[in-house]
Amino acid sequence: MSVRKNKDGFVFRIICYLVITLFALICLFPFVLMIVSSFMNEKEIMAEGYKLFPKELTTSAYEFLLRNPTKLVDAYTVTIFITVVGTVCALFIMSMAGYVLSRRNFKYRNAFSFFIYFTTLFSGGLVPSYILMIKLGLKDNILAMILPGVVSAWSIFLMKNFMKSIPDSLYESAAIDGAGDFRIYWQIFLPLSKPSLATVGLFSALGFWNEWYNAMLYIQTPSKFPLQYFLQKIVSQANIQLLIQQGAVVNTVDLPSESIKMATAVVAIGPIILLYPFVQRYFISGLTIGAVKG
Amino acid sequence: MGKVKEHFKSFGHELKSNKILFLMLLPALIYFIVFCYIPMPGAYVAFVDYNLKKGIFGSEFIGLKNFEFLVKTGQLWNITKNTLLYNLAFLIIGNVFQIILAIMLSEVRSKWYKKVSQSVILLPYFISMVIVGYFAYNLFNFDHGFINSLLNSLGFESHDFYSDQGIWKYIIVAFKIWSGTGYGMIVYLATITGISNEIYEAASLDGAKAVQRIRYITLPLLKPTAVLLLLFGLGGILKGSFDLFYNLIGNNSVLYPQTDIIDTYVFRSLVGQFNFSLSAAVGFYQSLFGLIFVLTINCIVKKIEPDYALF
Amino acid sequence: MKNAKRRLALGLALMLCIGSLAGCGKNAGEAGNTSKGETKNEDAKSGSAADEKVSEVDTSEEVKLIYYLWGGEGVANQDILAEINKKLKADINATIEVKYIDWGDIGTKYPLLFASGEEFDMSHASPNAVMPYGTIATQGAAVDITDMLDTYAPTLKAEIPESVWASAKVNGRIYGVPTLYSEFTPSGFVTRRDLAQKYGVAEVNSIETMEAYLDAALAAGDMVPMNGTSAMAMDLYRLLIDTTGSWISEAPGISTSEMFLAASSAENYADVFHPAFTGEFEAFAVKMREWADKGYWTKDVLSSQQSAKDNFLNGLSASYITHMADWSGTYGSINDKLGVETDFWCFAEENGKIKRKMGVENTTVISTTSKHPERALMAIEKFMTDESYYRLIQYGIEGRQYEIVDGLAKQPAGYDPEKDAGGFAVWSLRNDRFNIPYATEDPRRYELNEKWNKVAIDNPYVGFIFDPGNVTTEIAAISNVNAQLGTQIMLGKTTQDPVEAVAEYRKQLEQAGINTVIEEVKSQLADFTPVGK
Repeated sequence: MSVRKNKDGFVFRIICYLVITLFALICLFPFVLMIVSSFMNEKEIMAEGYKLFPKELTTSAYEFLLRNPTKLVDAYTVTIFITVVGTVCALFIMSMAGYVLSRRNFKYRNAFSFFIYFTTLFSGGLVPSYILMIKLGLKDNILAMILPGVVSAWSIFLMKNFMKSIPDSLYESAAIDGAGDFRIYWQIFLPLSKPSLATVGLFSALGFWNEWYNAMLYIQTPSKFPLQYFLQKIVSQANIQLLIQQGAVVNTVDLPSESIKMATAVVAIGPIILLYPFVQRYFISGLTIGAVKG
Repeated sequence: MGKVKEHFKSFGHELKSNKILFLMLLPALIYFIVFCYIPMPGAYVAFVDYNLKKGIFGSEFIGLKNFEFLVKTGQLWNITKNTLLYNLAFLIIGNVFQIILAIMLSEVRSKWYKKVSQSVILLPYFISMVIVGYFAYNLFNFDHGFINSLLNSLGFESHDFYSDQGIWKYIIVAFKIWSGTGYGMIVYLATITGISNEIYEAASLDGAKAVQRIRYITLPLLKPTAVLLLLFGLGGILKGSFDLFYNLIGNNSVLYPQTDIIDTYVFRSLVGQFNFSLSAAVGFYQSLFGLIFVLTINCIVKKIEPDYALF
Repeated sequence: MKNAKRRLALGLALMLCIGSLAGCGKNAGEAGNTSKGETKNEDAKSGSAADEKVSEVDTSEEVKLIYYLWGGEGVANQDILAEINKKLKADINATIEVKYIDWGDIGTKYPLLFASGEEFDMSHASPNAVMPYGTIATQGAAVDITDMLDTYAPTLKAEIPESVWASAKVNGRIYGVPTLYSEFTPSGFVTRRDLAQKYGVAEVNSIETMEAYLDAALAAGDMVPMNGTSAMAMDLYRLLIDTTGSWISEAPGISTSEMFLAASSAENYADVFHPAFTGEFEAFAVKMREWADKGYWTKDVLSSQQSAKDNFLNGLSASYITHMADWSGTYGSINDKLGVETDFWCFAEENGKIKRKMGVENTTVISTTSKHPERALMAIEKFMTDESYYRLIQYGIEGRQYEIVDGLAKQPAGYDPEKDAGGFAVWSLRNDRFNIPYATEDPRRYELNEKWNKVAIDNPYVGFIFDPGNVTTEIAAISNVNAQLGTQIMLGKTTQDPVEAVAEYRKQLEQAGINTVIEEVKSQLADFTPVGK
């Protein structure tokens, strides 16, 4: 890589390590607390709150969550499906849009930028959106969880911003060679945009992974519930079950509702945080070496 | 009329000469038209006395009456001010933090350290605000809170955090930063990655120290991104963060003068009645304010550096 | 949305009292007389009186009814529904599909159900629901069934007394079927008998003895006397209203989830006022401050996260305030978790102010978007008047979800929650006549019900639905004032001295428009006469 002298900025680097480590610890601590709490005994949580070193450990929260593994697997499948499909579509649509808006020769780019940005300001509210989705036939349809979130104005602007920083000379030399806009986009700009694609891709994936609101509004078949919504229902069931049973045969099983909340969160986060390291390599090493020369 | 015709003609011309570009933009445009612009007229519900059967457009128009409740308790100025200040703090301090961390992370050598710390710093983003609320209560409460236990064991007296009006603005900003930095710095990391290494090589060959490298190369190259993120965030300057405030502050009205924002205020007002029009009216107020704000600042930025402007 | 979860908590507390379902709607002309064409016999199994009328009703077309209920789908629900549908198809050539609105989603989805024009047939409703019965009725989302009853549900019409029908009337027309379940849900103070003995407090039946109990708990020091959240403010408010003279609580106008209006007595039901403007309120505010300072509840009560009930059930609190149905329903849990006996002091008992619940609190409405309102009504009739249907939908399949032992319903031996858990939140279809008590309910519930039935007064507002249309702004502003200063005063957490705080509260209420709201209530009440007068 680069030829930087080792001694250069040594003190500065130490400071960097320290600050980052400190901040990382602050970020890590609550998460560890959450994991430990998910193994705690319900009574202890009620009496003494969440702790790092509980007196007792139990897996009852996870047993409760995983007692219906087929449903959980269904939920994971749905979420993985919408995440993958959604992210791929999102990347394609938004990188094209970002490309177009970054072209200085595109006369109306500012007008369209405003057109897109305006949608982040004003909204019609829940009722019109709901009626629209129903009219589009998306009730109880998996697409209801993909389509509304597939494009984000913010990500388009990010892509636009990044593509603006790709040198014009690349564009010009390709244009001179007779390449059309789409080819230039596909063969030159996309490969060079890996960091921003990784960024937008990650954000999209995170958004789809956390999807529950559209599921709540439009999905009725339990097998189509995404992970977050499914877990939420379990938590609310755990809390409410005893109350519901006011009107039905009572089940006085001691439901570990507090630790269930924690276990739910752990189960929800689990996989996606593993995605991050894969994407990180796009943020770590530079990929533009030699691009200008070529 | 003539001018309009001219515009259409030049648009048509542009359409023909840049056909491919339009086609590439089309999917996104369709999305926005269908999912954003078609439902948008529904915002009109803010100006009517909404009736279930008559629907949004059949209901009786009542002008600004739905906005009255915002003004009636005399708190409009306070909650607007709070919302504005908090959002500005989140935006500016948040971005500064993200930039600093992103730069630091890119200066660090060890690859595994970078990966691990990046992942760890992203973790708070996943922790829902409800859980954050519980943790905060565990931290700050008077009788058993972690902080107070610590203070006591060191010989100090317990501090009544939940009645302390002055301290929460710092606590809230701190929580927001803790929660959002991991996510926000990804953009900056990506931008830094995109900076060609050759520039850095050239600089160090010229004898530039690390700090100077950052000051004269990295920061300026991050500027467009920072401006973009700041500008973009301005549109939502009166919105958002309901979850954070609601779960941290909840029903503790003692703290409201310093921590009440528009969204929490409205939530409380409407808890006794469900009213689409009232909440839509507030949304409209927030949107309008944001629009004016963004247009103004964008105009200013355009004059200084046209390339950085949003549009 | 997390805020929906909070609303849920509120909603639940209310739901335990079972809000009435308000189903009002303009008669959209779909109801009634369309299917009088052919006369065909159906194999009706219900009462013979209905057979003659039934022959006028055409059930030749098979109909699928969609019924929206709150709650989640239990694992066994499909099975129970299958059994129900077998009978329903044979009887009225219809089947039911239940759609659920889960507890956490009610705040968002329930209003959408009506606002989006979705096609469905029946739904649960209540004046206390986030979209109140009154609104559904007056804004044309529920079918006016007044004239349909004779033809399509004569048994039902006879089964439900006129006074209960009256509670579901809006502007003289009936928009929903009220429940026939008598419940008393006055608020009260729950104490543990073992602790009371330990503290040497004989019986808690007044504010003085309540204080004695709490003082003793404080002195004993092992748990917080009354440990709860900011929701306790409303509990204490009810304590004040119910124990003061002949004040009638929950006068219409302001939602019962916040500091509501009161009337000076049942006879003077039109004399509506806000208690904040009385001397009794001021004195109470001072007392609440004393209590807070003494330490009856935690310093951080306004931010506390664990509910009073949870604290009590887990031995972290010596008492809690709730309403009778909740207390008696938690009997099983209390036994399991604490193994102690509890006592309940009903606030309103002494001054004879226990009100009968209005049937409309839990109502079933038929949507104006329904294509088969008549069939829906017939189905409702079956559930409420035919015991075999009643048992299926309320309790499940006998032998699987429940069995009857000594006149009580309990879980059968082979009950497996993984396979057999199920049930529907159909409080609106309950009927005293067919009700089977649960083994886990405190038997005192039924004793008290009987006792109170004799002394209870009728709710003077039965049949009156307040239309807040003209005062939505004021109500929103008042909600804010109540949530802030009101709650602080009730919990003794004001920064000012309590008397000053009350003065400030009065001022804020006036600014928010409390007098406008009261005037509006009074003017709407002027045209109303209580049932039975």
